[in-house]
Amino acid sequence: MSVLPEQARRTLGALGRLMYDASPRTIWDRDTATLPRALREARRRYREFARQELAPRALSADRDPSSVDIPALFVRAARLGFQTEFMPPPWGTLKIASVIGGHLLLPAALKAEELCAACSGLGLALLAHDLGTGPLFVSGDLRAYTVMLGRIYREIRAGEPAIAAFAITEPGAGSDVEDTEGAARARLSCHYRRVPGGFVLDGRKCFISDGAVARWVTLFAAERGGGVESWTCFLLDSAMDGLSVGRSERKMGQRAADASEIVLEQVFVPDDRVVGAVRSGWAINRNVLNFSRPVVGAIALGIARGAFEHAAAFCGQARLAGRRLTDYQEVRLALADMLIKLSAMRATVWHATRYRFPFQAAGAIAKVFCSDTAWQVCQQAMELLGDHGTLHGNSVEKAARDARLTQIYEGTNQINRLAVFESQVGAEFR
Amino acid sequence: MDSEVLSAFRETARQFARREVKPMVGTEGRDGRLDQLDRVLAGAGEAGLLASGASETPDHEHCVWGIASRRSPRASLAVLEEVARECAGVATCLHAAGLGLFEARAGAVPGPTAVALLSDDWLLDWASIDSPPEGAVRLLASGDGDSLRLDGEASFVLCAPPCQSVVVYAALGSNWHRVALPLDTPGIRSRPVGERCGLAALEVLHVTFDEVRVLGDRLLHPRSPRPFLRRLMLGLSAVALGNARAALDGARSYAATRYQGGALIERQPAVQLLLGESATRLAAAAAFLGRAAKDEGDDAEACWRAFAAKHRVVGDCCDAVTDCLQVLGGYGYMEDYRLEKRLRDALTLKSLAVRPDVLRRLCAERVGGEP
Repeated sequence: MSVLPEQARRTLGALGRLMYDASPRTIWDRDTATLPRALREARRRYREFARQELAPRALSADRDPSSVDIPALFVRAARLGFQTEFMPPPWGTLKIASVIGGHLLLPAALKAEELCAACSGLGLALLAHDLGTGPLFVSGDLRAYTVMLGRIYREIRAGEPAIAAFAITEPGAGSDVEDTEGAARARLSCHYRRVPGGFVLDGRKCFISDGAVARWVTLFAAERGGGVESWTCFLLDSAMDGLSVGRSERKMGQRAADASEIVLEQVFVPDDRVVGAVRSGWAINRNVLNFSRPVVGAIALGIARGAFEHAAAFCGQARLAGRRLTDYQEVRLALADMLIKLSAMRATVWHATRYRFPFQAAGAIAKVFCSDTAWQVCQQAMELLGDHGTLHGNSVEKAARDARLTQIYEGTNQINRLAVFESQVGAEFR
Repeated sequence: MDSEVLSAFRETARQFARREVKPMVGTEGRDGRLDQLDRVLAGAGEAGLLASGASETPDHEHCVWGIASRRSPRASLAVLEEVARECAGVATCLHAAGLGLFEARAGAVPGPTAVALLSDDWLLDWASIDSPPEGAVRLLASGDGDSLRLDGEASFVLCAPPCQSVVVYAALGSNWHRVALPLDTPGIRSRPVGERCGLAALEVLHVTFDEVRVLGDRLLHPRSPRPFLRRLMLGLSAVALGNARAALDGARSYAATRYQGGALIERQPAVQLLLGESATRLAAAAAFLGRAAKDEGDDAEACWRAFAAKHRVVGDCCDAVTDCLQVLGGYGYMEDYRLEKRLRDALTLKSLAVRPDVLRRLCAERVGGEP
């Protein structure tokens, strides 16, 4: 005769029962309970917003990205304080408690998981803004932080869709800009030259998330004739003369977020729009990636969780030969395996955010592990649904398509593995 | 089968695919110019590759799953693989139409295409293949040997558009009965299952049967679905293999012409590893499928090998395609290079027709001494 955990627990004394948690609570609830109060509340608010605003639009946005008004969605997220989290009140909505508690990056990871569990396309459209403002935050340039970021946040507080985009990738140097060795020999096409009062920029950037809807762009360019050692970060206004948006890519997934080309033709950028020092762009770029890669891990985690939730719901209802799918041991094994992977992914992401400042290996580890695992989880979800898994309306095939991108952007997982090695040379690797 | 004959089949299919299918796939739209599909399938019929239920013609011998395939499936598999190199969806259309003809024979149902149908909600174990499990089958027959009444439904019915007829297996007690019917038969309703991840050229239907009367001329000789299932599995495996081989070709071409860090991508060890691993997987998949295709007859062992091939080959091919896509980085993820289409098709093939967990169970059961 089998004895379920809750039945077994009742045979214990009071202290024994207290220490034996057999309650049927979700892992989500249990994990949330481990967070400081401010982050517990934040996680619930992110989830509520995602369920109300993103989930109902997920499939239609995937089918027809133009059906969703991204700036309007941005404004609704901003009203809840989700788009101004790099500055403390009253300028922004940075959670002071998370900084004091050493969880600088955890709110961003929580937000990414929740938004992307509902829809990673719409989630990315909102999250890319944090990436776009990232250089203003991590450059350590007080003027960039207070004046430039302050201005963007002021516009957002005023109800404007002041979306920022991050522009590093170039048509002929896809992964080069995310890798030390590649960058040294990269064929860069985006250049600047000094002129009185500023710089003139020419060239193209590609695959820029939110490129078509951004009002602000943090863009990296090399000195004419130079390489990444001369890279400089500029804050561009999309209304600048000579700046235009080129083609928007037709992507496999995360389709609600545009990936667009930004074209620069003799764009004059005044001196006061340089972020950090001239020629410090490479360092800023690398550190932005250190901060953003754990968040990519969280995006992957969210996508996988969404696929798992759809698969679990399906298996709880669908029948095979008269029995519920969850009555089959093979299905239970697969669902449990998915939940194990989700827990490991979350542990990896949350651990990466525990470092005071994320470093190269930490970010890359979280990104690679979570994106590879998310791809596996999404395929498992598709398999559990059988033929139904291939239908757009059941969401898991969308999750698989969405997850695949996390293995590519912010450096392919091959580049990220090399980044782990590079980061730890002199430490683990001697 | 003589290797020269096999090569001739392969070459015919290759030429057809390059001439007709490749331009349809092109670079426009998510899945190409599907408005040209009718023309492409008509071309496949003219080339003798697409089965037709319309009438007896010599082509019926050599088209995909034509009469000649009863001796060996290798020619049909070669054709499917070659066509899948250009478009897995079109190849699956040929596969579905061929299976319809394999079940119904030409003239039994109206042309130009027929559907072979087996909903997988009953497939649990080897025993269920020979005898429908009680209470599990959603399409039931009642009546005697001269006429039947069909009630129930079948989902994920594969066909080459425009579908005009359907072949179904229905349970009558502990026996399977095969029936060939025009889709406009009173009591039959069909609708597309909806937007799918991949294989967009293939039509997939949900069909319901409400008091459908079947008279003697529509009743096919009762038999186990083993021969059908074996061909279904082998064909899907061949489509997956062709799709993945083309993905590898595309990744190799890209790597030979694009630069990273000032050097051709193909010189990067990380890229070499991805390509090498893909090539190795595909070599193993081809060997596995080749062995399964060698079996003569449709006995339990041959059937098991076909199921194992679907399980292993389609999975390995999907892994190979995703590695190939990775070689292209961000460009692989964009529709223009068609690698993402190949990955969507590969993902769809994994779940098509039989649940992967059921495939695993069937393989596990075999290890335990069955069938």
